[in-house]
Amino acid sequence: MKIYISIIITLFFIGCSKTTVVLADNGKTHNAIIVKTKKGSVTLDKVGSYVDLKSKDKAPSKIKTMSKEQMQKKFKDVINSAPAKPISYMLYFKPNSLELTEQSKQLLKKVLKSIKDRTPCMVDIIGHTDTVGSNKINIKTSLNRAKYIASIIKKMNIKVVSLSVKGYGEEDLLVKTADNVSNEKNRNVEIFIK
Amino acid sequence: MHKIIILFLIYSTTTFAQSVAIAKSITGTVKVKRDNKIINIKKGNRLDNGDIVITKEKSSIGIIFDDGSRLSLGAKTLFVINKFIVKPSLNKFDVDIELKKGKALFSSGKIGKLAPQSVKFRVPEGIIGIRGTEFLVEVE
Repeated sequence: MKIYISIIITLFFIGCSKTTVVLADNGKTHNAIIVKTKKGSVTLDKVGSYVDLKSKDKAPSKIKTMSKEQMQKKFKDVINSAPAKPISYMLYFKPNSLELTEQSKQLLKKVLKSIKDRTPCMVDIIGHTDTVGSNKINIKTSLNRAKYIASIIKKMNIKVVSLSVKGYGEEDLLVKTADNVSNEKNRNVEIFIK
Repeated sequence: MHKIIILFLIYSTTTFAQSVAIAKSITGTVKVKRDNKIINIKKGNRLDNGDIVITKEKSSIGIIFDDGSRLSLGAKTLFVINKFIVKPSLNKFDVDIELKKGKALFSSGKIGKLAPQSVKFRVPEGIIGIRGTEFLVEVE
């Protein structure tokens, strides 16, 4: 028995492990990976396609295909423990103010619930501005909007692991416009919940 | 002398002990090797650059990185976060992660859109590069 174990360990140290790499479904069309060893590389771009790697000094195997069921069976534990995809919301403001539009006031309730449901989570709050008035004031306004939303989240008394607050100026518009254009889409705070 | 030591400590914590992710879910026992200490990881704990994540039998962990990238690890897995730097405002992107043993599912977040070429997912035999992606890996 002891000899058996030591053989396994030796094999491991001379690099006889085996790796399988499978492309999974990310729900987007743009999905590809490149698997490389010292001796060659292959691109996987179809869901379920996979390669085996035997050693650093061998090229990846030919591309093979695994069904969804096989994937589920072989990788059940990692698929089941995958965290939910982060979610992002946009809240819009009335011109030159810290007041949310009526629609966004309703959406805010959903945002707060989403944060609660995803505890423990990290939240990024990013303010944007439109181009009416001076950039200096606009940067301040976008940051103040982000801070305002952050203060509401803080009041909720739920455990947010990290809360980052940023405000962008006219050089980082969400929708590109000329100067002095009032644009509701640009007067927003984005909330990214991870 | 005292001052020098304090400065060094501040320097070292800001350079090396950077939080880059959180544990979203845990089943069973998951430990992290950090600064030569073994720590038990619980749901909501932060993970740092340099952490080695170790899952025991019948255990798993779900992790979310700061850029929204997601990683889950299966039982008896050894995974190293060498570096996970995604700072769009500084134009700094450098992701270097490594599956030594076990199973993993990785889905790229913002890094997959902003700088996919700066992702290195290492396995014992080679490197996986990404193009905005979700993939599964098993190292036997």
